[in-house]
Amino acid sequence: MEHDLRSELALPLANELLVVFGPHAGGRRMLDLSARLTLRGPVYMLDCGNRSNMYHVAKELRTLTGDPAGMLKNIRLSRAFTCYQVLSLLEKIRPEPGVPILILDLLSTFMDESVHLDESVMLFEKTLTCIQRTSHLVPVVVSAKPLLSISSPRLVLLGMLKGQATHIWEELSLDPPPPVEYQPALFPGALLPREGR
Amino acid sequence: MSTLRGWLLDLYEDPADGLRLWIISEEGERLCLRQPMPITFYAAGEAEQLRSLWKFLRKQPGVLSLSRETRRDVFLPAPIPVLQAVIDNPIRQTRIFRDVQKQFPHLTYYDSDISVTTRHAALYGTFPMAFCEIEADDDNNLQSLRVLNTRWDLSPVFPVFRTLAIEPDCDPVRGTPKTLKLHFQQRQKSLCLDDPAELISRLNSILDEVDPDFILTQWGDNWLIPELLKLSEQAGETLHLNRDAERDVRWQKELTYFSYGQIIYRAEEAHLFGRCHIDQRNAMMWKDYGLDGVLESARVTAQSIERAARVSPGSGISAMQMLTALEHQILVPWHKQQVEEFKNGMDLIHRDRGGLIYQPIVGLHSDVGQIDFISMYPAIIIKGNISPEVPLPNGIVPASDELGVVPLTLKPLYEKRVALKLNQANLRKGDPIAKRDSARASALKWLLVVCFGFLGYKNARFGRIEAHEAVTNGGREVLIRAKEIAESMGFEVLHLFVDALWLKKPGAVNKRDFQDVLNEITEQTGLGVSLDGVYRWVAFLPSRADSRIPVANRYFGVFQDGSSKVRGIEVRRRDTPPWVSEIQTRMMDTLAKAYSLEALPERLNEAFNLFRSALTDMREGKVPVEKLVVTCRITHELEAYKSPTPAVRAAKQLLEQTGKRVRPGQKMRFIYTRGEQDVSAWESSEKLDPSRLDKEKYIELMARAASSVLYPFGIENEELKQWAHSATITLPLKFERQDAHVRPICNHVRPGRVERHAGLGGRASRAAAQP
Repeated sequence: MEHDLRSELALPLANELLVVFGPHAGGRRMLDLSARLTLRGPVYMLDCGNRSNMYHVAKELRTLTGDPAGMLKNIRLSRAFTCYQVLSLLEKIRPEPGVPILILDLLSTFMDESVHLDESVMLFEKTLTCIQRTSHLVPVVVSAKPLLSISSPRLVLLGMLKGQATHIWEELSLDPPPPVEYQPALFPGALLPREGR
Repeated sequence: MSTLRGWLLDLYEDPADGLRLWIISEEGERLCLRQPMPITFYAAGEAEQLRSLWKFLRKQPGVLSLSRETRRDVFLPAPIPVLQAVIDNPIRQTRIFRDVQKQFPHLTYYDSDISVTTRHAALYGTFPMAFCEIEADDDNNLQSLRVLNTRWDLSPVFPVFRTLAIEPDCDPVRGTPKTLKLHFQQRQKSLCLDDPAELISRLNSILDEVDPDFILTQWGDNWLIPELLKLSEQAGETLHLNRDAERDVRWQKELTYFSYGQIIYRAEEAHLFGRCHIDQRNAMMWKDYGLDGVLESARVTAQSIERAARVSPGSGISAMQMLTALEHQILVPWHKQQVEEFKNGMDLIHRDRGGLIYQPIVGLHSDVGQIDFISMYPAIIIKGNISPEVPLPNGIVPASDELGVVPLTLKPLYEKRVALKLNQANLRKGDPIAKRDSARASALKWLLVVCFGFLGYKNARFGRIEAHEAVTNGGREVLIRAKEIAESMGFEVLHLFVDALWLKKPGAVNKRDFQDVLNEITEQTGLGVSLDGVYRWVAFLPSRADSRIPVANRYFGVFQDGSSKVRGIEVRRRDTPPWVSEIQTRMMDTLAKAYSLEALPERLNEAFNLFRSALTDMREGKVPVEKLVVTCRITHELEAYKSPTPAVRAAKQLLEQTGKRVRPGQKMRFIYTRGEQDVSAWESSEKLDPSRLDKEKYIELMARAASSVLYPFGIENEELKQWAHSATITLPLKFERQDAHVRPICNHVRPGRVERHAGLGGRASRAAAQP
């Protein structure tokens, strides 16, 4: 894994897994990237955090082309609202040569407290397997955001994602992630995160 | 063997009996019956995995049968092969399924987590307060059950309920209650909390004597019941809260969740067996519709009464959809896995829009008719047959004939509400039946209101984002058609807002004048519309930040019958202190006395004086401090705030002073104060020193609220604020009418009116009253 220090992602993208990590799951950067990619052809956008603001993409496209509406048609978009849907979506997608896949705010649905931590981890492992497999065939860019303290037991998921990345692009304005909160321990050394005890 | 007829009050699982049902017989007896209740669930997936599951289940106790079946998953084009497992008892099924889904996480499960009340409703047509004919043996084992009425009865008959109301003598969060006040059988009693043994003994004798069906409490879930149980333990005597003596109180954990744009906190719940406990402070819509509404909600959703009282209307809709699915042999997925079909960027821009809004023409208008579509989105779902599993329409013409799960669920609900509303129109005001039916209609309204949002809800079993979008698309289509119809009939459209139109036409001054346009809209759209009323006058307000910008749904006005309608201003906000809300309401009530635009100036002085005397009261310290409490909801954990709001600062203060933590979704009450700590938590143990009150802050809040009311008469917010604080400026105000109906606000402001702190003097009124 390498940390990418360039100011902008160079195109074309290689067949690898790039993780964009930052506030708002690098939302603006991902949408700008999608606009640039549409000029080259089709692009898959899997929106896992309700971040696919097409008005922003259209605005960006206006600065790049005289046919923003035509370019918007190059985006193939699907939204997932639960972690079960994220996995289904990734299992359903058939990579096409040269068609990059952008996955927006991948971790968002896995933070859902109504899904047990063990189940989230199991589903995320399967999701990562799909992503890893796909990234050998086409470029895959995944965005993620820092987790709130309330989600600290699920920090493990972020670690898993970063561990699989070929490159990590960290937004410069990033605040340090909030510290993990621990419950008072009954026995010294037996600290447990808030969830999963 | 005996036969009896009666009402089903409660049913719940029992490890030995299967189910226990509590019946109120026609003779008034309260009976407990037992009924076996085998539970069926399904699994689908790879054959090898299903085989392993079959082997696993075969070894489990209580598994009555295992078989391969073919069933319909509505999201798949053809029926699918499934493994059907029948378990002897609902409690055992829950336990077995917990193990199954852990061991076989790759399988897809159906009908696995449906409540026993919903299952019973699907099998026998039962619902809370269903009137049944029952055969039972001498040991109270139920032999047969026949429901003699339906969920859709317009005038259900109930038995005479026994109700016991219990409440402490003060808010336990702010003080220490000393006594409990009890109301039952038109009697009142006070029980002292000092002596646990005496209290529990007297309470038990009341419970035994009254044998209530309903225990209605204040703070019952989070204080009263836990406190009573603690005292009962101290006294060494069991408290007879349950009718089923073999049971303890069942506790439902506290919960914070996100619903319709709000973080909601639901406190821990105390559930009883054989009778119903409703904590009126923890019941979702109690203030809106009370026990009548709760019973209606439980009836149509077939949820238990205790649950219907506490959960959101969305849970009610979910239960109804599951019931519809079970009744039509459709599988209910454990987790929805269907994803959105791929669409391109332009498609998303075109489809993912909300309701249609035409910004209002800002200003004062007279003789304006407001037309509303009756339950527009539910009507579109039904008429357009919009459901996740059927082809979706483009507009409201259905794309398939077979009704989907969602319209099938909503149709009787919608029809019942419309029928209730029609019935109500024929009842005279004050009729007890009218009051009851109004509460019932309100309960149905909330279910219908949320059904549209529920289509797009992530965890809805029968939700789909495209179906959600199709509804708003239909809504836009219908509203634009209504606008064109109105315009073709000579009306001017002042404002459109999702499902409502504000229209005016020279000469159209009463309800009859709007009847033709109502008929034409109904005729051409196929949806019901109603005239909300004709305003004597209505003021559409602009944005606070920029008065050139209109704001949708921010207005106040007076109907011809003298009733007023207000939207989008301070009195409608939950975080407005009661003092500000009351004065703003009184100012509007004063203006509402004006029968026409011409009569408004006469009332202005009166309204302004209310504002002025409110400021005087504040300066002189005459406003009771409890009327200055601001209530805000906390939406995150306190540590997650980078720039804490006043409510969060108050919550942190409360945590430091008392150790009480405000959870996300809970409300925080506080007072604005002067000094380093600019807020004071209302629940804090410290008594507030009145000299610490931040009067300037409250004066500012009041000026802001008053400016919403006075803006149409030429007074800007900043001007009013400055006037309220310092009295160093003059308030230019002159109301003058130029044309027949429309008066843009900017034209109302005329220079030349000089007024100092005295508000609007007599000279101003006389001048303004002149045409």
